[in-house]
Amino acid sequence: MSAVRDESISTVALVGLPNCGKTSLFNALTGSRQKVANYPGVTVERKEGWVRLGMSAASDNSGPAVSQLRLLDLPGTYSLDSRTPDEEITREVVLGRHAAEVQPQALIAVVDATNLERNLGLVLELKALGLPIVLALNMMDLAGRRGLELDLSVLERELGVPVIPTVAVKAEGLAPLLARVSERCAKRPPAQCPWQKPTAAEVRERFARVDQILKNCVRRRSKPAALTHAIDRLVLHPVWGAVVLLLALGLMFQAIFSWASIPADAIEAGVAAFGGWMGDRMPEGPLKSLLIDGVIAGVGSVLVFLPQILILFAFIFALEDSGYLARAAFLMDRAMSAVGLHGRAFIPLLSSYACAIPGIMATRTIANPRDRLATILVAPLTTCSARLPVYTLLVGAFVPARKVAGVLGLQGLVLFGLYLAGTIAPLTVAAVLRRTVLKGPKPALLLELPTYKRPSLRGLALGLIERTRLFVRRAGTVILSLSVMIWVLSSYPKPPADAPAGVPAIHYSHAGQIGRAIEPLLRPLGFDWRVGVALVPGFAAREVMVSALGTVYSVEQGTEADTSALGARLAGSWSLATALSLMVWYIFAPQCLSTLAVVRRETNSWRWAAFLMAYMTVLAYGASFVTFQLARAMGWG
Amino acid sequence: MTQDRAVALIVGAIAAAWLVHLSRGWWSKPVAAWLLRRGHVSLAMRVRFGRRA
Repeated sequence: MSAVRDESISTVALVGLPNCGKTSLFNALTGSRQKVANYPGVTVERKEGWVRLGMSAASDNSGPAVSQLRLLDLPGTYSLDSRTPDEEITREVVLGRHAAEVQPQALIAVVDATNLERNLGLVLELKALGLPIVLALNMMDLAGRRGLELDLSVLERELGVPVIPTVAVKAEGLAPLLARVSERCAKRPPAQCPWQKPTAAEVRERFARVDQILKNCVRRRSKPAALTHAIDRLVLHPVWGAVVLLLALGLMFQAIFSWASIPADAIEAGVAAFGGWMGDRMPEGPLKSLLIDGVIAGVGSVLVFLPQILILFAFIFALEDSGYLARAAFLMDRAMSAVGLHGRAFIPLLSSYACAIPGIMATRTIANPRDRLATILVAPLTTCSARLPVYTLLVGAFVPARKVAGVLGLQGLVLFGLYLAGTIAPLTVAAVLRRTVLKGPKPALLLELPTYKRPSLRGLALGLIERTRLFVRRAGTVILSLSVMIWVLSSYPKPPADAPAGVPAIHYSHAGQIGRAIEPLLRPLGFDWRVGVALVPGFAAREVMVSALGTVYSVEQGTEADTSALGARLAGSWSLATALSLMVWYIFAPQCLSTLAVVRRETNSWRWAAFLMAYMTVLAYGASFVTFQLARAMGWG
Repeated sequence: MTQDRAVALIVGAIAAAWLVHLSRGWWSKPVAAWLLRRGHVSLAMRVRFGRRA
């Protein structure tokens, strides 16, 4: 079904080069009235937002009034002649060829004022399509600080499109921009946008035209970005650059453990208080057990990790927004090339530390299909935020909270070690894949390093709010459903009337039966039937492991679920060898159905998703087995 | 209502919600087409494409 146009709502797309401020402008225009979703069929994170306008009509009465603008934030592209899958999405949407998207009625071409030479080529390409365009000349504050002087009226005349100066991060220039856009939207767009792959001569002609335009409208050239160059002398240094990168990553992981403790404790206390309040008001029975041991224990034990996950996302957003991530990709290129990965793979892999799903989507910036596939297949091995609840529980229960060298927390160090393992694992597997099933040449890295800028607090806040919403929604849907399922399986059937005393009721439940059935498979890893019961739903979502363990232990002991005591319970009943084995299992195991679904969509094949599931399960089993046996041999079992 | 019945209702509602969600690709097209014929454009888009609409 193709999308149907509602005449009072116009669709406008933001188009521009990467790092020109499209997303900042999008955030400024839409505020919280935005949502993040996926393009169907081919997965690219798609941002759509709404802007309400007053009713207006085109001055020549040529079209309907526009009351709302539906804004699309399209992936950055250097040209309509796409090299990467995400650039192709932008082209298809702009040309009106995308099946699940209406053709935009107008375009906002976002241009970095400090880099007109590279940006105007795309504007000329877009103008040739015949769509109404308004040019948002962004980062005017930076341009002014660098001494650039432009004659905007000449630029407008040369390009033949309205030019509106903006500073997206300060929300400046938005009103005139919206006024010109809604005026242009009220006119009808052409039925089809003609476009053909340009010849080399046409490309040369286009850039000659750009040079001509710049000659006419630039009154004074900008000074080079001195601060950026000065910082890059340190950050791109082969030795000091690596030190800076390690320090940044080390700070991030230490922060995850130490900064989140107060809010995490507050959430935990709130969940426990809520559970206690409910328990006091309800009569004993299955409903009370479902709500307290199933729902509150299940969802609450995952919600408590929200502060840590947000700290992780905040660091990644800040690094990306500041322009540092591109430098990190450049520094990591040599290390990546050594294992057969493209330098651009660093950014998807770093994003995968938050969640493998946007990390896998970010591989759309990698042009070479083999490089892209290799990155997709190893991205789930990076230590994503869903592993954090399990690691935090086990590290908290089994690693003493003391300082190393008087400065570093041992627990933070162990967590860093787990993250390091989650870094070495994908690189190692990538090296194997690129020498076996995905053999091929290594292309060179061509990367644009943006100028440094202060991360936008507003953009950061909006990003974190959106992530919180996604996390809470996931907790309220997937985690809630799985927690209820585990509770049902753990609670029914009830023990028979002649059941011997001293045998917990959970032994007779479906969960107990399933756990005992798979226990022989898991015993060599040091896992008993309880871990088995928790591992099975954990294949759907990793973080469910914590709530599943909480439910199984509380139902077994006939106590109310108390997530704060879960760690103590595990420390009392598990050996260190079992805890280490489970941590290693979690480094490798493919426990996220959503990731598998995204891999299937991105690779257009169930074969690669199945391959991913198989190799990760084999790795997890093998590594876990070795860890447990070694730990037992050292007397920790 | 007994507690057992309440538990069954809650679990049944969650199962039904998942069934509806997982079978969306099958039922959303005819339902959206029916809504479009009756002029409910935004609702039809929402039904067909969910949060993408």
